[in-house]
Amino acid sequence: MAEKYNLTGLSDEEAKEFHSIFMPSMYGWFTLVVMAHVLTHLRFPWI
Amino acid sequence: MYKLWQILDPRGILLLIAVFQVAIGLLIHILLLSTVDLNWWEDGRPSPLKAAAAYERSQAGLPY
Repeated sequence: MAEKYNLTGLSDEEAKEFHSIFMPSMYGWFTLVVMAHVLTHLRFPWI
Repeated sequence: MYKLWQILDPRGILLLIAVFQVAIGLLIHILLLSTVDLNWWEDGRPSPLKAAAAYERSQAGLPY
C-alpha cells in the first residue's frame, strides 16, 4: 500500500538519509535567519 | 516524515527552495531600499566621519 505512493523511487534508507541532512540544515537556516533579524532589529528597529 | 522524499523529488525541492530564497531575499532588499523609512544606505547612519569627529571633539570640550 505504502509502496504505491513511492513516486521518486527513493528507498526508505535513501529517504531517511536525505531527511537526516535536510531537517538539521533547515533548522540551521532558520536559526541563521532569526539571528539576522534580531541583530538587524537591534541596530535598526523597524517597529 | 522522511517518507515525504518518496513523494516529492529531493532535487526539485532543493532547487525550488534555493530559487525561492534568493528571489524573496532580493525582493525584500529591493523593497526596503526603495522606501524612505527603511533604506539603510541613505539614512545618514553612521554619521559621516567628519561630523562624528566634530561631535566627539565638542563633547570632549575641545575648542576646534
